[in-house]
Formats: sequence, structure tokens, C-alpha cells
Amino acid sequence: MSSTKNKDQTELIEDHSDYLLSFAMSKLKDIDLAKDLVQDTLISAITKLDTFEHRSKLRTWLTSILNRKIIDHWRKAETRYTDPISSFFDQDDSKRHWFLEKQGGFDDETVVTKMEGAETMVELQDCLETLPEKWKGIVAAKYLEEKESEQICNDFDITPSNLWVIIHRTKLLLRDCLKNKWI
Amino acid sequence: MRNCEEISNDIERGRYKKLSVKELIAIKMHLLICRPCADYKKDSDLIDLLLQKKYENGAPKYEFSEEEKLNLKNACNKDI
Repeated sequence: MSSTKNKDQTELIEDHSDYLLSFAMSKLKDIDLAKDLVQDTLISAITKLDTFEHRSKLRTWLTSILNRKIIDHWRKAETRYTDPISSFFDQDDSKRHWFLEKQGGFDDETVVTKMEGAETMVELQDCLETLPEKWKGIVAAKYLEEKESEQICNDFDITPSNLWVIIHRTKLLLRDCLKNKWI
Repeated sequence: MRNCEEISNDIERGRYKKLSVKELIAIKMHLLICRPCADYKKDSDLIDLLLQKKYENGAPKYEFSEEEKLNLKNACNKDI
């Protein structure tokens, strides 16, 4: 292997590995899995570096490879065990109105003080960690990557109506979690 | 008449897609008579704001340790 190529590789890892790990952890819960996927991404990127066409930024290209690997992981995981999403849609109709039984929402005064507080973001992160992994991934796809709904449905293999239900359920879980922290 | 579940889902769909006038009116009417859904709408807006704020500076940071980076470099060298 030529030394310039070696230098490229080292730079690639130094410049992008932490960014890729942060990206992976916005969508996954398991840090070891995230590290493995980043390693796989870097290896396949280095193998394919000659085919990189500089039409996009290197980081964007790397992120798209990593994203593909994360999606593959979800698809494989889905065939291995019953996913929280499918088990949710299987549940019987009597539970469909469960959120009506919940006592109201946030209290207005609390919201005003919490909106500006720095610790609110930490609390929100804790609450995101309690979500099923795929739901956390959907939140990241929507709010971090700002993807269109069609793209999210495609990546996660769900229908648009599944997506609205998941977002709705996610928000209810986040509300409950934050309310508990804000008491 | 649409039920609460459908109204809530329409509220979320409305953040991505343009809703029809008929749908918007159905939501407005429902929120007038349904306290849990009115609360949900308000909280959903708030959580939306919080999530946008949370991600405006990118994802929370994670880092590889120096040792892990060295392992990464070795793994990349070995596999090619």
C-alpha cells in the first residue's frame, strides 16, 4: 500500500470517526453496535474511496454509507424478534384510547420555566433513550436530518399512517417522561 | 366524526403535509370539545419545539478513545 493512501486513511479516521459515531448514536442505543457500524463504514469507504466522485462532501458520503448500514441493522433486527412497532400495531382495540385516560398535559407555568433551562435538554435526551430504538431513529431522521416523510417511511419500511401513529405515540411517551421529571 | 386517535394522527400529519380545509376544520371543531386532544395539541407543539432546539446544533457528541482510534486504523489497514 502506498504511503499517500495510508495518510488518507488516517486522516479519514481522525476527521470523521467521532462525527460518525455521534450520528450513529442519535439513531441507536447500543454504543458497541454503533462503534462496530462506524468501523464497517470506514472500512467500506476506504475500499471504495476510488469511486467517490466528489459530487458531495466526503462527510455526507460517509454518512450515507453509515445510514445504509443502520437501516440494514434494523431490517435484520426486525426478522430476529418482534419489533416494538409491529407489536404496537397488533395490540387490541381496547387500548387504542389509552391516552384519553391520562391526566391532562403540561402545566403552563412549568413549561415557561423549563423551555429556557439548559437541564431540559439533558432531561429530553434521557427521555429519548427510553424510546424503542426505531422510534428514536425516527425522531433523529425527522428532527436532526430533517428528512421528508416519504424518505422516512421508505428507510424504516413503514406506511405513512404508521409514521403518524408512531410520532403521536412517541410524543405521548416523551410527555409522560418529561412530566415525571418536572414534578 | 373522527375519533381522538385519528385527530391526533392528523395533527402530526399536518406537520409534514398540507391538510385539506375539511380536515383542518374537523381538527378545530374537535379541539373545541375535547380537552385531552386540546392538551395533546399544545404539548405536541411544545415537544416539537424542544426537539428542534435539541437538534439545531447537531447530534449529541460521542467520541472514540485514542486507543479505539488506533484499533480502527489497524482494522482498516488489515481488511484492505
